[in-house]
Amino acid sequence: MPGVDVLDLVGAILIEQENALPLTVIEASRRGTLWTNATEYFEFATLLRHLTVRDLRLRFQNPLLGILWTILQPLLPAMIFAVVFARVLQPATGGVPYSLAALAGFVPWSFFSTSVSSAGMTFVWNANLLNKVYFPRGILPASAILASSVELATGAILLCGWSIWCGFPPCASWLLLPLLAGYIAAFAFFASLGLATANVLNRNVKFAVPFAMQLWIYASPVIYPSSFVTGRWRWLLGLNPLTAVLEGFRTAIYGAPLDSMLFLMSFCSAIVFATAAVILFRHFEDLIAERV
Amino acid sequence: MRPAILADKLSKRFPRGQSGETFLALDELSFEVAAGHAVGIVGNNGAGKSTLLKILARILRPTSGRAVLDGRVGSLLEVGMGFHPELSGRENIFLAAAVLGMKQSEIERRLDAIIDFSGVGPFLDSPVKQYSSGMYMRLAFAVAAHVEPEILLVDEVLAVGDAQFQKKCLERMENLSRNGQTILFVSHSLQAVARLCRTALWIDRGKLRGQGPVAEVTAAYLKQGAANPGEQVWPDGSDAPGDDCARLRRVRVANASGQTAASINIAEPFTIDLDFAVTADDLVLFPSIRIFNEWGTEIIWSTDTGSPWHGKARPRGRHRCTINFPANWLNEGLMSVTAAVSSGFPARFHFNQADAVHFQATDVLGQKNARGDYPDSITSVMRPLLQWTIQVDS
Repeated sequence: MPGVDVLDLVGAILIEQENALPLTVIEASRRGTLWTNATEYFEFATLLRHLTVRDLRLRFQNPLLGILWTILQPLLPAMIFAVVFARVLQPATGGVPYSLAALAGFVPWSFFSTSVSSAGMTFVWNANLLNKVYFPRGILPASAILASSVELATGAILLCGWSIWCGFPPCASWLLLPLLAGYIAAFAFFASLGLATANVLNRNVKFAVPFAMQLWIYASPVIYPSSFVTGRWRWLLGLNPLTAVLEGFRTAIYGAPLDSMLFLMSFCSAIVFATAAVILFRHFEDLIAERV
Repeated sequence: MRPAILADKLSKRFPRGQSGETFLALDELSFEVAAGHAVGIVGNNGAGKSTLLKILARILRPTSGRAVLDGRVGSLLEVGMGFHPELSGRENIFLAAAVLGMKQSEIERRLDAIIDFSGVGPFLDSPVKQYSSGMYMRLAFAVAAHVEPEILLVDEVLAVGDAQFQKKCLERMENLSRNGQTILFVSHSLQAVARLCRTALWIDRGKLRGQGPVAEVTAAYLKQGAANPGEQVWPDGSDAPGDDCARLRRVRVANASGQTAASINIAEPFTIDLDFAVTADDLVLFPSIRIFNEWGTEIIWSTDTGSPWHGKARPRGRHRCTINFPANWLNEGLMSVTAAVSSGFPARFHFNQADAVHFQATDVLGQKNARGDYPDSITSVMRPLLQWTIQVDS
């Protein structure tokens, strides 16, 4: 390799070992690549763990009520829609009880909307901490999403139970559920990373979030399966990053036919949104403590 | 040997207001701290001390320049960081220790020592919201005291808590420093700085103004601190400290013969005048003054309790208060006066002017005062002349 002196490399490694202590260099602009910044999160695993424990403790301070809220979160809206819209939407579900189709939509959706809405506030809520101690800032939304994952897990169990009740016995595709849950949790993390940054930059964002969520639920196949939307506007569902996971849940639970083109489009859309969120976050990361 | 902390032309510019104005908090600050040293940072409010600490703690990023820290960095910018009132003492230990950068295994290893140090044993599993403030502080400090990075940045942690707690904090920090930890310590208490640190940095308006042995640096800092000897007058207008309701106009120290004085004989009575303008109707105002000694210790606080105006609504106009101090209670040294006016419900300060005036309290030899013919230095906060009754049984 021209231009790289092997001895220099060896020297650098030896110096590194001689000084066992880490050297912190502070400069005007951030050093290091996306990869080194990301690996820093592993050094703070203990903090992530205890922030998550804190959130769980507070949520389940009264265990019975905590579990009740967690179950009602997806169940209540699903049942309301089942009662009100069942007749209109039933034909689109292909013989599956509408309540099951709706619950399969609301379990991932209510996890996503509630966890992102609250994890998106973590920078603002923890302003004092951000101003008093250093840690990779993404730890805060990450711990909030991790704690909310309990909701997703309970929801998935509830969904399996409802499925059996409706006459769809356990099948191999249920094994896909953890994968889908991981996927939506990861997307929720990236979304809340971007939202939390936006909340610091502009205090009006938090007022817009509930409206955005209300519009988003109708723009996503939550209360209706994607097969409900046909014709020339169907591709719009593909732009929605949540379509893939919402449809994925239905396929995994009761074998709804999966539109692989739509799934792929939505998956790519999720990657684009997540990348945009990471770019936004990294651009303003160092200013969060100052602006919050 | 490489220094533990190296700051090379660190600058930090903050935006101020909406108009795109900026404020230079640190101005090409350079210094080095050798490994294993405890260094104090002194300077006025707004000199950039906290900004410097936050940059070194990686909370803020400098606008230009660089700093290199050799070793793990821990920052104690507040006691009780990460504490949550609903969690138990034990849970808070883990959370707060993780916030301070400790790993799970480290926390588990030091758990017993932390619990022991805090002395909250029996209440360990109750929520900390049920703790007294003293217990809360002890637990919070116990966690902080067991973080042992190579470089520790400490800001005003000692400003909270009672005297006994502060003593414990200082002792713990002395121990750490003796064990070879590098400590950078910002405090308003020069006494604490002098006790803990052998060297000090003096930062003034973002620039390094002095560096060296702690006694020399603090002496130089104190000397410039006496910028407003005897009297300070604020011309009319919105530049004077205050708001739409009340504004400070004048603070003056006068000796026993009524003359403005930058130096007061501690064996004689003296007065402090506090003048302020009231520009709103029917406000119940509480003027107050505080006197701090050169170590930053608050010696006295007083409001107008004895006056007929106390607790009464004040008319518009200029209000002149004269506070009469008796002879023989101050110790010698450089005194700083804080003047404030607040209103009661809801409580808020219209102004709270630190360092409004300074005066030197001097001990004139040969006078009837508490010293008598005792020759050594007297380090007590006050030095009143007390009546001793002595009975001898032989």
